Amino acid sequence: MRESRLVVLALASVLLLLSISAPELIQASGPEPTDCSNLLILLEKSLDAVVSVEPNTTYLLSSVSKVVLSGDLSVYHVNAYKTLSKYYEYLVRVLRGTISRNETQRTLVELANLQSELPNTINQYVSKLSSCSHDPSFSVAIRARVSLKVGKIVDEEIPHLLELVLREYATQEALNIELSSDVFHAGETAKLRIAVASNTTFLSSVRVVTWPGLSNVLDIANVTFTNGAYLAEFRVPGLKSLTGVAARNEEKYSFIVVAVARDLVSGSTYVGYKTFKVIYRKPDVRIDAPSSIQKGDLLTLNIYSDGTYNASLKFSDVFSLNITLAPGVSNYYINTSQLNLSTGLYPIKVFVEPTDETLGLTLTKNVLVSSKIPKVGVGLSNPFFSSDCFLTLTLINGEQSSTLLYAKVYVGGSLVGEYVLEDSISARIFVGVLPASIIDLRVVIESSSPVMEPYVFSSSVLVFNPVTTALLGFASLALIVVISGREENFMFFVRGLIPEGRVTRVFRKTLSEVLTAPYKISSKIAELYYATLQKMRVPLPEAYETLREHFRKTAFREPLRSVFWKFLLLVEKDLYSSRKQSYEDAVTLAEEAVKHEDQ
Amino acid sequence: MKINEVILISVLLGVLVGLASIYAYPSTTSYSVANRGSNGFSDLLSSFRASIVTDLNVLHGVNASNTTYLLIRSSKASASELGVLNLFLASGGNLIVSGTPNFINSVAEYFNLGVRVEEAVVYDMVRNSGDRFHPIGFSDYCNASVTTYLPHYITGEGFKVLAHSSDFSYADLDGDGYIDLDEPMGRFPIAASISVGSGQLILVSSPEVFTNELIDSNREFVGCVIGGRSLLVDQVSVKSDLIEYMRVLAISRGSPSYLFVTLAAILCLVVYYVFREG
Repeated sequence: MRESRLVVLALASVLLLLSISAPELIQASGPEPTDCSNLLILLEKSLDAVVSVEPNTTYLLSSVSKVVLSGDLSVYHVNAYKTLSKYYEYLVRVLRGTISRNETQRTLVELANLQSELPNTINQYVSKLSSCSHDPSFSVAIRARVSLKVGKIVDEEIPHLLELVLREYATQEALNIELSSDVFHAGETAKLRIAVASNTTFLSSVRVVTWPGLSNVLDIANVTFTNGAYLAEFRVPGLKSLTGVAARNEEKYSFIVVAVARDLVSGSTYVGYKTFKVIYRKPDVRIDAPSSIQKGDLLTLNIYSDGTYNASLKFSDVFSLNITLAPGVSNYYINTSQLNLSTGLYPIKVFVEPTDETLGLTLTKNVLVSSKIPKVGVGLSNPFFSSDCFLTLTLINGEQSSTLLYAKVYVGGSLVGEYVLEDSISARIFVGVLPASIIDLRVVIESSSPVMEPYVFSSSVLVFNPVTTALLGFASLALIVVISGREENFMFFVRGLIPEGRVTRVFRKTLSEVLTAPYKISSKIAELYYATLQKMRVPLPEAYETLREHFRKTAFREPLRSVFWKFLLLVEKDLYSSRKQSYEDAVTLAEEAVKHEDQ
Repeated sequence: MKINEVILISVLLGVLVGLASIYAYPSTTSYSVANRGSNGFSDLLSSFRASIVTDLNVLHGVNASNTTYLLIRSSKASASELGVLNLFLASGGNLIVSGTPNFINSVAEYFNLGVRVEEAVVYDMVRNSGDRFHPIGFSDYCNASVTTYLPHYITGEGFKVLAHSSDFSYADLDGDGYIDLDEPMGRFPIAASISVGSGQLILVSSPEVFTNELIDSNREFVGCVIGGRSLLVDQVSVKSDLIEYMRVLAISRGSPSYLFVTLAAILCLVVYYVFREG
């Protein structure tokens, strides 16, 4: 016993100390370690620094690229800054003119690659950051600004750099290249004239390459030497030659003519270039289709075209067709009854394939497909007078063709008849014998066609039956005649039905619940007191209060108060004394009270 | 054995176990010299051979011109304490003040410095020690980096920036933990120095700079602000926690032997009573 006390005491001491010194285990959750919004801002600052070629740009890019992140974001982050750093490195080298002649070709290719790589990499990174940014509106704002800066780099800066590199690389003084125009329309022929500086210089090759992608699209072979200059004609590159060069469906593309010549005496190689643009037009194709059809209808499409084009027609995901558009208007029909369509909005898309001279085009027209229901006429008068307990319903098949329809008639949810509706029918429905009734009528018309949906007619019909009404009237009159003057007998009859005592309870209950509730009243004077209160519209005493409490609560005015006080004393005496009080006195007081009230 | 002896032995054993537990069970009190955890000052104490101060009046007896006093609190200092600190500074002492912005501002207001520590926390995604809650700043004065934890930034006039955050840091003005379009980004002062009397008042907005977690990274900076003087670490606030106070007292005597002697004495007493019965 003593030992156990000892142990308990020691343990208690330890527990006390542990509880006092226990560390805080619960910590509130704070913000995430990665602030994507901050990374968005840092990216924008980095782009600013790159565009403005700020002195600390390399330090900035290097520092931010080293941010340690987890998961996919880390990959996107590293890629974005790697690409940006690479671009900045070329930018600085081009601007400082430190690119050697041997590196020119590689620099041109790298810059051309960066033009497509940079927006993709940055866009992916920005999308990732936007998805984890704490504030959507914040990310939208930064995203727009970043997009503008990337656009500036891709559309302005990189082409400018390429031009600088090319200019450095080219030896324009040895070769003078002229074109018949700076801007051509697709399909036109360009005239080329290349003048060489010396008689010992001979043209090695002439080619057309995309700008700034630098992909070779045309080798010009048919070159003649006339009057000290090389002459050639070539058809400006068509869109098909841009396949694989990531044609962006733009209306205007830039190309350069690059000519390489060699001096046979000195062995030097000269490179000259000339830029030009080609404009590709959009085909004029228009589509005309109804804005809405019913399921199963024939969909008619009118497609206008200004030329011959290959195209594909797609009706949502349920129908597609390869077509050749001819000049003028072509009609196409789609039988929707063979398509498993549900109701809703369906897009019709026409994809016009690009030609050598025209760009690709996608046209969209939305068609609302609504449900098709049978055309049925329902003849029914409401209210309906029926003398034979049947309701007559007329159903008329309104479909133009001889479509077979099936009608099901429900009354109050129960099926009461099924009919085949070829032309028209008159259905007779039993509605009961009651003189008047309201029936819930529902008619469901179904079609044998799978494209049609059931037609439902619902109505609440008031049905009168004059025959049973008249019969009921006669029966009532007869009953009145038979039982007239026999009320007493009727009461005896009722008493005979109800057990003894119950009648009394029923009677009293109807007298006044309030009156009998607090006390067992056997006082006519009390009843008169209550009746007087009631007549004067004074609230009667509640079940839980005495007459005196009620009197005190009620704000009677003088002299009514004195009258009721006397009346109250009379009631109490009548209720509780062994001697009954004068009913006449009570009547006098009641009349006096009513008289005062009238005054 | 008599009943009163049993009770005595029980109490003595309880005290014995309690005292042993106090010493053995690790302290978790922030900025306590007895705390060997990440938020304690045990390494600071050993690294800089610092002394512990549990009563501010001790400052009256020290050579202020050769002393740096580290004062880290979460609640406001009393007027009498501030009076003692004022005398210490006037005598040429170095006072390092850190803790909550409220506490630092209360000291700054007392000395009428025109400097305040803002409530907004500074985060840094780029220059940090593991995560953005641990921005790494730099002290041009000490030519050393400063690793911090949730530092606040210092505003005002007439102070020397002792350390600042990096160009990539930002101040979270609305306290949502993330940067917003209207929140500033750039360098923020996170430690400042002001001359008061003959002494120097140094404000450090992140007290974690001195903790076991970050002291290794900040040894150079902390050594610089101590300035080769003897370091006194303020532990006055632990007085409110009796058990922590006992831990600190045990350490402040120079070695844990003081506590061991007490424990051994109690143990001997218990053994004496038990064997006397036998």
